[in-house]
Amino acid sequence: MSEYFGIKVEDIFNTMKDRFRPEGAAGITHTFGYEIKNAGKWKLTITDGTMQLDTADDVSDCDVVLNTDGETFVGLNIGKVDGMSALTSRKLKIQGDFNTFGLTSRMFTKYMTPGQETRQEQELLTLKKTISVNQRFATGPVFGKFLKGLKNKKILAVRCPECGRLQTPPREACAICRVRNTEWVEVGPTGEMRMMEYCYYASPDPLTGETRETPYGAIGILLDGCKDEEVFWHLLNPEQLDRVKMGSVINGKVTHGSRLRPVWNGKRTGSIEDIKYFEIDE
Amino acid sequence: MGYRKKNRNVGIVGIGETKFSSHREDVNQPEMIHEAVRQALDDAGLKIDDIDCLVHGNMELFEMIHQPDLWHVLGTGAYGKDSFRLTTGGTTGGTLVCAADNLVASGMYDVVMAIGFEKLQEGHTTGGITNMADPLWARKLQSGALTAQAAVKLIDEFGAERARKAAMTYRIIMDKHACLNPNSHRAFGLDWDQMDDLIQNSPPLIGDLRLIHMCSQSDGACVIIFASEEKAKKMSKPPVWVRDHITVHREETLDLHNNYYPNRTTHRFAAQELYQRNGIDNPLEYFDVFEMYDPSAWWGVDWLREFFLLQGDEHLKLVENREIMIDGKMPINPSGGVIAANPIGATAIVRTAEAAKQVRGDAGPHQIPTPVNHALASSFGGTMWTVLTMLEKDLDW
Repeated sequence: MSEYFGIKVEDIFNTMKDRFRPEGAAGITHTFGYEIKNAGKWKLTITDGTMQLDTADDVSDCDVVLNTDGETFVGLNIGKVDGMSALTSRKLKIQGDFNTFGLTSRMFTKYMTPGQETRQEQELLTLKKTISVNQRFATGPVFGKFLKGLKNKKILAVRCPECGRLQTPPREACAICRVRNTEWVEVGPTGEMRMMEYCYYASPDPLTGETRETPYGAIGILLDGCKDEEVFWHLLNPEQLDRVKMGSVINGKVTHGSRLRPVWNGKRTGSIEDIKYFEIDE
Repeated sequence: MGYRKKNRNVGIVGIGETKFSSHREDVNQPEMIHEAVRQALDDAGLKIDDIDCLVHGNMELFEMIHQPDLWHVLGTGAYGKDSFRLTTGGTTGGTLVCAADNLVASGMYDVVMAIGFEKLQEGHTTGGITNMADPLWARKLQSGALTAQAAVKLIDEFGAERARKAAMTYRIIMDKHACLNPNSHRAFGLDWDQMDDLIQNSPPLIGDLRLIHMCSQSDGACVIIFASEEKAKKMSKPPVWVRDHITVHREETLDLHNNYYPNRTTHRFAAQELYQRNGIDNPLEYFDVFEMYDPSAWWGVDWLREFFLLQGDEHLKLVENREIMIDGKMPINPSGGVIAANPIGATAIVRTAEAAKQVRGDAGPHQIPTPVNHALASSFGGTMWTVLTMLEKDLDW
């Protein structure tokens, strides 16, 4: 059997029972499959604070399955290989929910080479802090007028007196022509889908501090009355992510996207939340 | 655009770069910066007393340290010296180069040290970037630095299969370069037979932007020392001359999701201005290396067309024919680029540092095998910022 960093794949599995931390597995009930190339397959069964490990011929029925080679597997266990890098480069593959597999990290203490258990690694001190800051922003009269429009289910845009382009949300001046925008027009509220960011990555919502629910779609909508680059940025009904079509204008060739309409919130306060999201207009 | 030629010539005389990694818990911020400062001073054969002025830069929203330059004095050596702090998002490092170049060219200082750093593990990068956006509208919608707009555009214009292959070819080439660079944070050893698997199975972040395409979050620091022509010529190593630089930015991009081409990109605008005022008709022929600030493989492919003022699918052909490899016609990022290491406040100054090392000929294992006389470096940040820097081996323009 091959050794990696002086350790066999079997060593990791054979010591799992001794390294098990029942408190780390409390409340967790899952089966974890391990497929290690040229080494074998193992099935770990966790039932609320207890564990059982078996070699197996087939682990495809497990809740999550980790698939990798011996070097990556041993490296991960002794901290020589970075998990995220292994996952990114596809040296490590996980079938099933990635976060479920992450639970195993708190169920076991770190693998130590026999005889070295007593040698204490130097401890690095780090301080962890979470900072929360309340903020208040003035809208100014132009953005304020726009937000007031939303309260009345109206989407307002400003027109540049020089180049004629529309901007919504409105801006005080056209930055390209360097002149003040003075003319207001109502646009939409229906329009055409242009581009969607189909977001799988759960980023924080800075307005609430909560992690966003995924997947969601941040979209550019060409509201009726607008043209070319004059899109409006909002969200799509998350139920309809796979039903919409993006539109485009590439070198003058126009492709039309799905027709959309806003879904207004019942209680409107003059904020981006006054529109819940856009949905297919059918 | 108002533009005047420099008051006097400026050379790069010292370069320092830490190893980039996901975790530098073994050092604090001033200690990490000091590693690069020490290296740059040694490289230039200077002592800290020889430095007249410092320019320090990072993105304070990432680590949430206000006035980090004060904490860092022990690492930077700024005590008792003139110093400035800059923070222009991803472009910070590029702005540091512009500022240091201008400070020396103006005649105000003879030797200026520019310091870019970031310890992204000490904060929340996506949270920090999201706070860049307009607080009344875009914050709700923005997903940090992640976007698949370039992917959508390339797929619309050239078809999904060709576009996806081009982006993954670009990615694998960057990884091959990263494997040559000992300072890389991420060097996976990707190979061509992994193309289809990566295209289909790398975890998706946004649309066709997958984990494998995206840049890392790194820790690291980079330092460049600039000196006036008179001083630079007295130093032991041949200086690399900063010929010109340009900064272009545009308004808040609330209308970015338009899927409209050709549109107003700051990259093409900056490139056109820079080449025109320096009399460069064919940038692809003129430059011997380009260190591009490429936050993702999709952007890397898309932006080649803008920076080199190409038409149609010329940029895709450069990638498909692997002309952008270290031994190709137009080597892009022999260092591995931003996808290989991204300590944001240092990332853009690393582009100039790496381009300068290529001109000096001492980049190490990732040195381009053919002579490098003319180099280009770019920076990208904010909603749409571009900084371009031109470096020359000889003072002959």
